[in-house]
Amino acid sequence: MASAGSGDEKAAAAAMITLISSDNEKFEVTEATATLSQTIRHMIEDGCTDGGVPLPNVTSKILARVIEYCKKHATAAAGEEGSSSSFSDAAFLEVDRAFLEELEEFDDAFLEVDRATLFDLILAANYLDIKGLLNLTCQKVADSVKGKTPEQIREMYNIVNDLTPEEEAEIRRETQWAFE
Amino acid sequence: MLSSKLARWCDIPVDPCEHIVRHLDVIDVLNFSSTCKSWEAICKNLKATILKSGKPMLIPSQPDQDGSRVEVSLIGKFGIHDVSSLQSFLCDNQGLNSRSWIGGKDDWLVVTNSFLDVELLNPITGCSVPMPSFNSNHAGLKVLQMLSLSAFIPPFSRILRRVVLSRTPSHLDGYEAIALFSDGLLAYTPQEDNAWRVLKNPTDHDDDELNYYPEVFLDAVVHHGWVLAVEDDGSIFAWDVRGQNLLPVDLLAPIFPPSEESVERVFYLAISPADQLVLLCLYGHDNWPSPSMARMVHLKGDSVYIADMVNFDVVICSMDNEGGVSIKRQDFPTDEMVHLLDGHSIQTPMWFRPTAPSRGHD
Repeated sequence: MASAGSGDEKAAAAAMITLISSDNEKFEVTEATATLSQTIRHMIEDGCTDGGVPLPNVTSKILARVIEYCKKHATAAAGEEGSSSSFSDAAFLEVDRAFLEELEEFDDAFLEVDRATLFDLILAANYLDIKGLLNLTCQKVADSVKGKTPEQIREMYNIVNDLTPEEEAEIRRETQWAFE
Repeated sequence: MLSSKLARWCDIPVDPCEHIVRHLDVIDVLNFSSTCKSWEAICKNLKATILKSGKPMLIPSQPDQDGSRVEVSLIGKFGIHDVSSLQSFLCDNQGLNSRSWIGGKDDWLVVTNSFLDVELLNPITGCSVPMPSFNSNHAGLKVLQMLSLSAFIPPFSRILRRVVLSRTPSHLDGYEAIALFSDGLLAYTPQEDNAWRVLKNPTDHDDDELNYYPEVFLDAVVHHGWVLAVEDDGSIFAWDVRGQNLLPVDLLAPIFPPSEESVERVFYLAISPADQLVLLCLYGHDNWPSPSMARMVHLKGDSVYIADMVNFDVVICSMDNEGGVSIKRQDFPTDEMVHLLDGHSIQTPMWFRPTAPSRGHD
């Protein structure tokens, strides 16, 4: 991904990190974007990001989505820091509110993915330790499970009922009503 | 490992799974954990609360049945209080939105709305079964909607107070229920009839209608093909619902101590583990759980569970073999959000007992 040619060259040049997906695609991102991942933050702190950060557990397709999320939220984090110094300014608060709404819309649109992609995003968020993304994606799963029977959940998530008839019988015994 | 085609949700790592479980209420956890072995194991490891089957729980009613005075964030929410573990949970079921429960058995609740539609709802499976309407049945009953003003003025006050569910829809022969109205009207329906049969209709009474103030049935049970109901003075009547003749038989009721007139009494009927008919009398002055307020009583084995809505506690009376009685008193935790217990607004808490988490069937 090419960095923007114009604008703050110095900031970009100072803090660009290269992420390498499992299928060897390279993504160049700012440090602010990359450090939303605690895993990458630790790597930067340990000074082992020269020559790129290999992420053997994340495909380019998923990494692109994760970076999209991090870019948006890194801007949000920067915006919050900026506004905290001028918290008394009503105009800034208005801007903040609009920005938070926009962020919410972004998150909603971001979650419009099939279940397989959602699964991969959860694994990536877990591996890269991105709290916001992990929370967002897990909330999505929780919402989809609410009010559903085990059979409906199995169907939705393609889960095979791996309980043997004996085990089911055992569970039934455990949970049977005491005779009244 | 990260191949989309092979997404194995069962193998989701513990960390994300914990995040998911944290967003679920106690009923959803019950269903989630009985999906497959690994999710069951994860829920166990996380020490997530899984409702125990067969334990009595209390579901306080929604503060306002029309939902108009309920905070938006609480619409469709209900509390479950687990008497055995002393824990309370807030649960969510949009099927209970703008409904109140007026009866229940096992994991089925009888719910109604302000239009007096009655249905059976299983909050665990989300399954619902409609019950016959009171207005469209052959008995020609006049039942006023709850919102109607005249519903509060006797002798026309006819409010559905309770529905006793003697069999749930999970029973092979379908559900079986008895409806108790505020003016003494008593009606019975087995599922196959799809209509209410009137057992007693006080407006048939010969008394001057305006002065007529009938005894009201407090509780009813079905026992060996008979419907038995107890009035608020302790009289017991029985109807043989297997036949067509629905004339009541007056049973000889025992005399209850103490005999002072000022003592308030309420009566409940139950079937004992030895298949005997049990008549329960709660009496006392207004200090110990005021009988009229301690409305919900649940009999399980040799224990009687009483929900005391004045003091927000549960009283468990247990009988031992020698006939001795021990009384245990439990306080509700008082987190309002968790229970929706808002002072006097709880009206009809229900004893609720989840059965086994249904593994794909109801």
